[in-house]
This record gives sequence, structure tokens and C-alpha cells, in this order.
Amino acid sequence: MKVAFSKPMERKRKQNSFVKEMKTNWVLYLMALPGIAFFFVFNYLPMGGIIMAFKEFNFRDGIFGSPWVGFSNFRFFFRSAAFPSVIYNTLLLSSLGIIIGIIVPLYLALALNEVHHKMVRRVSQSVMIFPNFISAVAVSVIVYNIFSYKFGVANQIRGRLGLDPRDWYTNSLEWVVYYLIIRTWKGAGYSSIVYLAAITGISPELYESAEIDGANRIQQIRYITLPGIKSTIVILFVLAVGRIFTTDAGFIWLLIGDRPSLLEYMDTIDTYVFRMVRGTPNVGRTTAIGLLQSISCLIMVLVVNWITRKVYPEGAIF
Amino acid sequence: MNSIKINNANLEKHVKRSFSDCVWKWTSYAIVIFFALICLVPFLLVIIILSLIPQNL
Repeated sequence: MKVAFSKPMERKRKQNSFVKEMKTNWVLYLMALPGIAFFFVFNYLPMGGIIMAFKEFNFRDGIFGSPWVGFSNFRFFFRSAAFPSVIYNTLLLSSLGIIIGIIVPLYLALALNEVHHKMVRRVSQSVMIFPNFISAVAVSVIVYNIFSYKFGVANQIRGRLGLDPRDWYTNSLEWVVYYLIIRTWKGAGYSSIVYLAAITGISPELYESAEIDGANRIQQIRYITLPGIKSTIVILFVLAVGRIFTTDAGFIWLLIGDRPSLLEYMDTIDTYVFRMVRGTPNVGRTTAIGLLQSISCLIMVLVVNWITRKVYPEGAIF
Repeated sequence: MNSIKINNANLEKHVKRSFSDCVWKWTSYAIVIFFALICLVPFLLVIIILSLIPQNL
């Protein structure tokens, strides 16, 4: 039977339950406090800066003194010549990155799960994680040493084979492939740990019974492993889709540098903002683009999560 | 007495299963070792470059 309370009584009851909850679990809340403080200082406080997206910011008048310009900063981005290509490139790089970023680590985790030789497994797993700890700058230097026209290893090999040296920094579409390969090389080993952890969580009894039923390894992977880690895959996919409108501008710029010939497919929203900031910095416009990115990503997460909740409720984040 | 009966069809299936398992196992080993070696490339490059620097430099 539901007991009806009057409004002041209801409020008092809620307050009491809140105080009771705090008294009971105060240690847990104390532990959560540094995390809450971190997110408040670094994620919520800077949100006040969003106001700059609607202002013609100048350093003399500051954030609050600068004149309001409404949506003109947003209009500038929508009307700029680079807008369609920048959006297309961002979506192209991100979506290919998401697909490859799921398939390769997943496949690596499945393969690692098959390796029963302890030393091979441990050594290869450790080695696979190494590239993740190499900084983007070091990676770009390695890549430059491979593709440089004069000193690059690639052209040295071509020379040994009797071929003419090639300028590798001219075809933009080629660099989409290189970028994806380098990104996969850098992150796949590290990402595979998550899938491997999920795989080790599956009960070995399921595999034993499948073996008795006559299932081979491929069938075991298809009917036990993949369904067992389905929720992990879906959650990671939803989280990845939440970053679909963002790319690593620093990494892209370190790879291609100031080469206009490579911008055709490599110029994303972030590199566009980076170029704007390097040219004539207009804080209002760059903030507006950043805000648009965040809103688009939020919408994408909400939509994908909503679809996931309808199709596969276990994989939904909220 | 209870014993496991293996007829011709089962035997064929068993042989096929073993073969596919073997292929999958060694493919996995090959992939893991290949990827691990690729991950080592920059470190090998550094070693090669360091070894190429003249000692009197």
C-alpha cells in the first residue's frame, strides 16, 4: 500500500533519507570527493567559457566585457568554404578509426586467447602495449624518417631496387590509410587488453561443454566468446561514437605538418580550428566550433544509446 | 560395457575439427608474433640508427 505524504512532509522525508544516506556511506562519498572535485574543476568550471562562442572576444575587454554577436560565430563556420570538406573528413577518419579500432583489437584479443605458451603470450602482450607509450611526437619523427624524400627509409629501399625516389607527401587519400595504420599500430595492443579481460571473464565450463558437443574453436568463438563479450563491444562502440566529431589534431598535424597538398582528406574540424588559432586567432569562432562539436557528439551518443537500448539493452550506457 | 562409438562420419568430423583447430591455433600464434614484431619496429630502428652513428662522432 502506498502512503501519501503532504508536500512539506515529503520534502522532510527526502532530506532525512539524504542525511541518512550520507551518514551511512560517508566513507564512500569521501573517496569519491577527489574525483568529483576533478570533474568540477576541469570539466564543469571551464563550461563558463562557452559564453565566448556568442561574443566577439577581445583580450582588452575580457570574457564579460566583449560585445555580444549572437550566432554570427556559428554562421561563419557554416558559411566557410571549408565546412563541407572538414565535416566529411572528420566523419571519414573517425568512422574508419572506430571500425578498425574495434575489429583489430578484438581480433588480437581472440588470437592472444589462443596462445597458451606462457612466455610467447606474456612477451607479445607486453610488446604490443609499447607503442601506446610512445609520444605522438616520437611517432611522427619515426614516420618522417620512413617517408622523407631525401633521407627516408622508403626511398632508400626504392633506390636499392633501382626505382626513382617518390615524394610520399603529395597524395592526401594515401595519408588517410597511413594515419589509420599508424593509429592502429599505436593503440590496438592497448585496446585489446579490454577485450582480453572480457574474454577471460567467460566461464570455462561453457567451452568444455561445447567441446563435448563437438564444437571446434571457430564455433566456440562464434557461439560463446563473441556473445560473451558482446556487451563490452557495444559499450565501447557507443563510447567511440561519442567522439565521432573529434580527431586528434595534434597527431594529424605532427604527421602531415604544414603541407597544403595533404589537407584535402586530412583537414578535420580540429585541424581547421588549430589552423585558425595559428593564423589570426579568433577565440569566439573557435569556441563556437568547439561547442558545435560537443553538441554533435552529445546528440550522437544519445541517439546511438537510444538505438542500443531498443536493440540490445545490456549494451546501453544509460 | 559402455564405450564411445566412433563411426566413419564422426571420425571424419573429428579429423576435420582437429585440422581446423590446428590452423586456427597456428594462425593465432602467427598473428600475435607478427603484430608484436611490428610493435618492435621503432625500437629496432633506434638500435639500427645508433649502430650506424660513427663511433668517433
